[in-house]
Amino acid sequence: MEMIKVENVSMCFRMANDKISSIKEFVTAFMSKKLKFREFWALKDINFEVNKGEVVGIIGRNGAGKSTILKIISGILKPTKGKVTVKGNIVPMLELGSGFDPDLTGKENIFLNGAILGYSEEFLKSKYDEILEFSELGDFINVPIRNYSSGMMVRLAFSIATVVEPEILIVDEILAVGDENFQKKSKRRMLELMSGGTTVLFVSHNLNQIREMCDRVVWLDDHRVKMMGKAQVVCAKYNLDDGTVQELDELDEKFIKYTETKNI
Amino acid sequence: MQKLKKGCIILIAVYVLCALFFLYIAQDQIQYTADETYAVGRNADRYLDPLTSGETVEQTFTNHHEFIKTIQVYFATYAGDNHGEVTLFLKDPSNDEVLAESKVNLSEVADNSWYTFAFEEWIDVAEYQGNELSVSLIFDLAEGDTITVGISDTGTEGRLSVDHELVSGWLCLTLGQINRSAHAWIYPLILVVIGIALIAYVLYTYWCKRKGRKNLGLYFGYTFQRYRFLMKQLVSRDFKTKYKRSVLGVFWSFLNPLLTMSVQYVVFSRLFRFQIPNYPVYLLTGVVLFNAFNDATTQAMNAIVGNASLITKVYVPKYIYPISKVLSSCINLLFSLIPLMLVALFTGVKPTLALLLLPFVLVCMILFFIGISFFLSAAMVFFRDMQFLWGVFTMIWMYATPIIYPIDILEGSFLLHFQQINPLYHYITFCRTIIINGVSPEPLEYVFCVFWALAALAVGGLLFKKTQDKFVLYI
Repeated sequence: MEMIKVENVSMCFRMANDKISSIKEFVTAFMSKKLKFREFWALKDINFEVNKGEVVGIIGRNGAGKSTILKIISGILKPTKGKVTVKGNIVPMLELGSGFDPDLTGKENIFLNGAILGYSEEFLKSKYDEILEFSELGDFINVPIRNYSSGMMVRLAFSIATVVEPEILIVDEILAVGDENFQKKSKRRMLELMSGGTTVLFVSHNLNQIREMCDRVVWLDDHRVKMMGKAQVVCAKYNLDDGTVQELDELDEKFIKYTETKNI
Repeated sequence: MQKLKKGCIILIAVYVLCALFFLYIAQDQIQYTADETYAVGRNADRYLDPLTSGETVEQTFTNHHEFIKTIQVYFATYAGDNHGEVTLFLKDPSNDEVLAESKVNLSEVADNSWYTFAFEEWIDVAEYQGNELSVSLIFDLAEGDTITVGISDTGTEGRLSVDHELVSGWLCLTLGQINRSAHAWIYPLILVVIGIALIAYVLYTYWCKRKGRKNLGLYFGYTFQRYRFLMKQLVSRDFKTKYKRSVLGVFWSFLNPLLTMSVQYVVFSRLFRFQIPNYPVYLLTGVVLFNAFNDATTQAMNAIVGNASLITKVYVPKYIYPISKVLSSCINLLFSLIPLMLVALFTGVKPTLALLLLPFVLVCMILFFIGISFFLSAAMVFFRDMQFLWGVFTMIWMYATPIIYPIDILEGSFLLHFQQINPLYHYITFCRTIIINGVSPEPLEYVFCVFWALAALAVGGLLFKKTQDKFVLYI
């Protein structure tokens, strides 16, 4: 069953010479006829579909349009051309903590953030203990969030986002969360979700992660789909094609060697 | 399906209840036309010579109305204290039949001012329409009393006589009159028609649901149900964080309007001395409602821009943000109604059934606020200058609305005509009539209230809907 269907999607941003956000600027720009727009096509004619239970990775260089396509699928942006059909509810993994209010306590934030993600009140009440346990916050849950360390905040956010078993989960690079122990835990949770019939769209620059987790990969390059297919195949091709990745790996190795020799 | 049924039944029940309630509370306003003042002689150009005991002053006039509620006469006392009595008779001059009489102690009559004679009930003069009636004053003075009445040199009709001798001029006399309304039947009819339309729409929605068709009512019910919890959370967040780190906390909701009112009361009751009955309540009603408007719109203006981090990451219908801001600031309004009621009780206003009309006007106002907020929050995304412009604009609006001053001082200014189309004036007057006078406003006022709410909602909502897809690109 197709959960997401992306048909001929193109996205065009009209960029004014400067960002005009006040009447004065608008009038002066309008008067001097400087109000020209430059068209920028972030996506050109994208087609793909995602089936139920699949984990699909999206790879590509910075600025290839990965985040834009995710935003279009989750309904935040409207495509200039084309159509996206989505069946089932989407839970986006928020950039961590963006739905939090610093003056509210952790507990109040669980309910606020949960509501923003579209969970129901009964659901949150029944899962409250689970969230609390997973986040390892203990008594800090009744302290206003502004007193949290960034690690605590991130743990709370991750716990809220993954407590639900959504039909479609959208993940934009967030697995590097908390300390090592929590990272392991969160990775286990992600794998649990992915094996549990949830359809996942996954964006990452980490090819190892992609290879490990995804069934299929869509490779975006220069605002178009360059390649689509089995994860191993596409990743291998991407690796070959994209010199920077290899360079990066080489640099990594060099760095590790360097630290080893220096005995740090 | 079950929920739809329940929702529809509740909707219709609430409507029927409101309609019956309106017909009951506003029955006087429906059955009779607005109060009118009929002047026989309006300005005191000169006075009669000081009157002596037993003297009779009689003024005839042609009656044009069905009921007389009050009679006002202009007296002068030469700044002396009086202890005698005056009796006013309303008579049919053709056979000297007394229709009504009222006896007043002259100590209550002030120098150079109108005195209002009240009667136990309205005087039914319907059968004398087009005929002459007369008002006669018979004085029964004590030792040393000095009293006279004002005479106008311009008048309409009728004769003035003192002890049955004709005198030139007209007695300074006005009548508070009222008629039976010829359109009373139209209100129940309109309510029934709206009710039938409502039932028809509910049935249509029900049919759509069964056939699986789309329809605005269904969509509305669905989104309401789905996002109710989010709305609740956003409202409680706004409300909790507003006073979070202040010592008095939510108590400020009571204190704020009370303090503003006290300052303005002291300033304006000493400096300008407006002739307004129960000025504290008059002022506080205006202050509370206008502050609510100001607060709601300023807060909601930032609803989209302030939630940018959410809007760019999660899909939620965007109109939830301004609505939740307005609702959270309206909780404040509810809290500030408490000091208003306390002041009203304290100044001797008797609570009446009409107070139950308050929810109606509040709902209309909140809808109006939401409409304005749609417009403002959308405009704010594209033009950040809006926040400063709006601050100036609300200030102008406040001084252009009779909040601290009575509407009569606008006489002869274009601002008087502006009040006809000033929604805030209508809402504030509506509340004042309910609270201070304890009666329902004119039926037309209800129409104004609903009209402005729906108009703001429609215009603001359309603008919001048209521009909402672009928000993401500009915040």
